[in-house]
Amino acid sequence: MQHSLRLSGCEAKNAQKSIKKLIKTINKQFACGFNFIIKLVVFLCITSPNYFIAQDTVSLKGVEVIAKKIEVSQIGKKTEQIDSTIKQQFKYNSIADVLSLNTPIFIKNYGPGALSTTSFRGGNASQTAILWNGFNVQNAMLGQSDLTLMPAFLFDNIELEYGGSSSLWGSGAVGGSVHLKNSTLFDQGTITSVGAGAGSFGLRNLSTSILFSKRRFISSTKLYNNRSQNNYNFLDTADKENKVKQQKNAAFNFFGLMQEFKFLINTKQILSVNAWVNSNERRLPSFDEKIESKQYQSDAAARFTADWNYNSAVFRSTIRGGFFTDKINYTDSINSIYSKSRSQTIIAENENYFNWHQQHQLNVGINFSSSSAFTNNYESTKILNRISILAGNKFSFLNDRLLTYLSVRADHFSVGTLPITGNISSEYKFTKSIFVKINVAKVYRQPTLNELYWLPGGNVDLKPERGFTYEGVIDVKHQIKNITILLSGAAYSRKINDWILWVPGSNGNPSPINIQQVWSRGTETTWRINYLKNKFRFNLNVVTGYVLSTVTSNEQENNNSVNKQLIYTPRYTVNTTVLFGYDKMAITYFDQYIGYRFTTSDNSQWLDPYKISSARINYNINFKAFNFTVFGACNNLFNKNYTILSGRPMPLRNYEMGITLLTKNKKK
Amino acid sequence: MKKYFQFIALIPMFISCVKDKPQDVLQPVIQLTAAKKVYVINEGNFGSGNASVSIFDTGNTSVIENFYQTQNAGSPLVGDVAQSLTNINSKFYLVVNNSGKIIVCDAQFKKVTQITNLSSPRYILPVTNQKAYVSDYNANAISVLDLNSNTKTASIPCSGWTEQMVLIYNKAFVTNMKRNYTYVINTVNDTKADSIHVGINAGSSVVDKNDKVWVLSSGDNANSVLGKLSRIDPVTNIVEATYQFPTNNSPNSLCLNKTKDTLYFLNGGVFKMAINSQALPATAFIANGTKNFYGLGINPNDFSIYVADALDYVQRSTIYIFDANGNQKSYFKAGINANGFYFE
Repeated sequence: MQHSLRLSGCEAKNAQKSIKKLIKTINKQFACGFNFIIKLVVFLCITSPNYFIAQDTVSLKGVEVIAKKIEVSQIGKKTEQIDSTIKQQFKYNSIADVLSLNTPIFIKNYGPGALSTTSFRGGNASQTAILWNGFNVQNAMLGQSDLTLMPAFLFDNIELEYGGSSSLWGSGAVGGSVHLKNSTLFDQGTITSVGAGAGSFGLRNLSTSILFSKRRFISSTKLYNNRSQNNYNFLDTADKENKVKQQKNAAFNFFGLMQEFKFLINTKQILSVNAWVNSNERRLPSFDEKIESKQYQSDAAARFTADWNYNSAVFRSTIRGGFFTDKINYTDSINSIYSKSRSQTIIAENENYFNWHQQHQLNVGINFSSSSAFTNNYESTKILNRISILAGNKFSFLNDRLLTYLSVRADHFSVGTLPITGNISSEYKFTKSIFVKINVAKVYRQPTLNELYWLPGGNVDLKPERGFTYEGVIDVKHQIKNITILLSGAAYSRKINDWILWVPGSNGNPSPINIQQVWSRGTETTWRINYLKNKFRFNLNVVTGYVLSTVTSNEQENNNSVNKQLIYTPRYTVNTTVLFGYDKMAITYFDQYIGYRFTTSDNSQWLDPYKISSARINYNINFKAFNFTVFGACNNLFNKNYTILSGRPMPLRNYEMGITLLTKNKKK
Repeated sequence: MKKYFQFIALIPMFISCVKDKPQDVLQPVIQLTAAKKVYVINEGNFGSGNASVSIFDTGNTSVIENFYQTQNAGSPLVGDVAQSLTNINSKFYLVVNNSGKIIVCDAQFKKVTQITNLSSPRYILPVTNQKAYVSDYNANAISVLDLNSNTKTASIPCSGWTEQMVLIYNKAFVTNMKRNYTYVINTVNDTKADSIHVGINAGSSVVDKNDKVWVLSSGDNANSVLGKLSRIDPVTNIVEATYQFPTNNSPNSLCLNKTKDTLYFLNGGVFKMAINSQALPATAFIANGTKNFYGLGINPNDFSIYVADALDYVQRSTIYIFDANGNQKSYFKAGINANGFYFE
């Protein structure tokens, strides 16, 4: 067992006291939060009597350049957008839940409210880019994001881009990218909503949003609080006498705010300023319920961005800046571990798109980012700087039936070198209903601050993980009267060299080393049938993933991981969704199969597959000036005992319900 | 035809070649000889409950993995993080750290009983035929066991994370990872008698042929505290000699050979040092290269050196056997994160 211990017993006692104090303060703060939300909502409901529910489609053409970048990055790639009804049904859940049940991404979740990271196309958590309006929001020290801390409610669109895109999205866009987007429109009036939810094990959700959407100005405010005692029951199969156990020390309390401002300066220019602040407190349970845990983690983040966008018929440009800070405090007072870390990232970028020819669009961009971090385990504050330049060209041939995008990116990194990356992708509209897409990309992941500077073990000589990815997609869309069928199949292959693993360095301390080569390949399919007639809607969606992600070489002697599947990378995943909608009601049934997951790199131990089901229902009621949405969910419908990760039991059957009240007031 | 073509084109997407259900590794039927055995303690992964014990037959070099499971079909799981194995009065005491228990087995490794109500036990030290001490990761105390009833009878307050212990002259010298001191416990009245400054993260200790106590402290790299090796006179409780390691070293796993005149420890590679040496060895006796040396043991029967390579910590360890001159003789596979050995 490896432990790092730093402080004395006296400090341990003080720390326990200060944690109690901290929790009290947090509770107070949250209490203020609740009162504030309630007052705000009452105020808004009173002041917005002119209710207006009809869907408005006054849309100014999407002038944001980030939309343009996503558009070019998605040429030749498999993409997916989370259905709006489904998204609504996951309003109180995190992005982790949405992705887990609706996409082939495997979410490594340590339990409700606990850490969730991704395994996308056989890559690890730091090989998925999580982008908020085009900004990479990963923690600079860890190189990954905790999706549990990102409520689905904050985003208007959740889009998936499969496959490598390092030349556009930079480090980490190896397995794929998740785009979390805010896309509010001008001239929508005033929309206010307040929601409250409750669920098993003391789950409570509260959220509110206020959108002022004028002709030239938008302000959107979203606030939420999700908390739970989280003392769920689970089955302990090893204990034959007392099978049903209760989870202890797993409570969480998440609080956050997102604010957007958008100004339409004139028909060609938009300025937007966004902020996303959150504070998340959670207790972490011990592995064994007999052993008391005093593990406690507090994560807080503040993210600010500003964009200026210019748009004309032949030229589009954006200048953007972002400032992100992350704080993670981890305390285990029993084991005297008091770890604190702070990191911040500054990003500045400029991107330009020129329609220089009828069939060509050229883009050039420059990006500067600087990350700095400090923790007790660094010698001093450490800084990473990176400058990237990007150039690309979109070609369209055969009356836009064939689109090709070619791009090259060069980075200068303050520590070591980063590879020149690039991609070439193409999509061809074979017939009215068949699309063929191919993409070849060079991808990379830069070493994280922890990998470079953690004491002991950090390795400043690390090279970036890098490799090539090849992928092809066939999409078949067919419409027969009221039925729409979509079949999509994708196949990919990706070899990553210099894969970083923490193995011991020369003096025995674990140290990250570029030691492995990993080959990931697989297929994904989507089978979708939509039936829409009058008020009735039926939707069947089957998403499968087959991933072989194996080590092809490892420099350690007698290492038995060669030709073995990476740990916690299921080879098979199947997600099935059946949605019935009638008028204002929608009911969805989710079914998930996750195959064997190996827990050891030599594949000598594994976890059994699991198949879990859940159902979600929502119903809209219009009552005078108000629109209510009532929602209910039953998770783990068949009361299955399962774990996603070893030693992390998941809850048995549990419930959620909630109500959202929405008012809309349109004033010209 | 074109319609069908669309679907035919998709077919390759659904073909997959690998059967999902993994094959269980076949365990050949192994006949153990009468030769001496080496027990390998495999921690497993913290929080995963996959600790195990492997047994190596020095006669025919065969290995039985999951030996505890093999011998105890009724209760096949060791638990979470097996820390140490000690033989006392012909019984095996297997300390399972994160399960808070000690499994007591007979000579055939069949479970006799288990000792619970321990917090996070690490090592066991027989003090007399009736009494033993158990060090602990977070109890801030040494537990006293009655070896006849195999129950915990008392505890001796001892702050910090206590680790390996040695016994000499009715004194137990208790190493400590969280404090700078090795505590001395009077084993007659079970009270703390003294403390000796040896540095932080001291976890291993031996008694040499001159009856001197050696304690190895790993230091604390993050706070620039150097590791050191201390020689203690157990009569006076005074540190007679200290040997300081260079920066960023993390020496650990101090062991002694059969004749008790040569020290061995891990510091990346395996280091060897005579007890009368004036300085620390400058270079490794056995270099580690890309190996992850995680456990060390010196076979008292033949001077051979057993080193466990934990590789990436999430696969079965490799155990290398070297002769007394440091030449590799053979290797075998054991469980995950092998951290130590018990030699018959």
